[in-house]
Amino acid sequence: MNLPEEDITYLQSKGIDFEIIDRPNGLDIILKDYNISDNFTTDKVDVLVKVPAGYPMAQLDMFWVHPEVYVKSTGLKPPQADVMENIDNLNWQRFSRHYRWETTFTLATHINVINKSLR
Amino acid sequence: MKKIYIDEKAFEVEKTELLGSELKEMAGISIDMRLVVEVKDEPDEVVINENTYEIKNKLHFFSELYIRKVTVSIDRKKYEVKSKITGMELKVLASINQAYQLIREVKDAMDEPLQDAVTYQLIDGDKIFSIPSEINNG
Repeated sequence: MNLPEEDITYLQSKGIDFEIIDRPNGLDIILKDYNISDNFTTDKVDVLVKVPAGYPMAQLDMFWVHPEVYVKSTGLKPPQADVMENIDNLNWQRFSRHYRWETTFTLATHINVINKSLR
Repeated sequence: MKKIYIDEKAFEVEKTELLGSELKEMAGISIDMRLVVEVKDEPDEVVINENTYEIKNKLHFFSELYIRKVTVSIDRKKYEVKSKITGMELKVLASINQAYQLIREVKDAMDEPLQDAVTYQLIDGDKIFSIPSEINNG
């Protein structure tokens, strides 16, 4: 599977350092050293997005970060971000963030959802 | 002598290059006002005050004051729209769910949310997409 050209163009236009990893049922994108809000205990994380084989007809859903983050003011993990998953021998923190997918949505949509969640 | 156009007004220019700020001064445009240069078969390019621009015959520049038709994409589909338009007008034009948020792609920076009641200056090649307003945790 290949990521659509417009998604690659979007990532490049943002100056995001990213890696694409082929998987049996799609691919993973890792956004490296991604800046997040100072409301969290770290200001940079790697963000993993799972892209299913049927994308963009199939939806993007949730995202994972490494290292794990905690909310500074509470010392707790963010809501519905307390599950850790081992992906390629690294522990990734899963953010359960779901929304109604439209087939016109792109990676840009999902990244903006991620930005909202990591504000 | 070359002839360029700013907001469809002709200017004869002797110099082969001008700064963005000089272009604005020539046209009586505030230094803080956005000016774009039309690029053939490409998105418009925003004129930066400190940058130098080669003066070619029939080059067209447009400021925020001038309302023209531009081609933008909304959720990957192309539309010809007025260069000054509100977020709501864009939603109606593209049949976007009114509960969704419109976002304009910005190079090298955070994307810009577009509010329903605010008028935006669009340029040729702007990419706009919608995101759902409701995100469910868990």
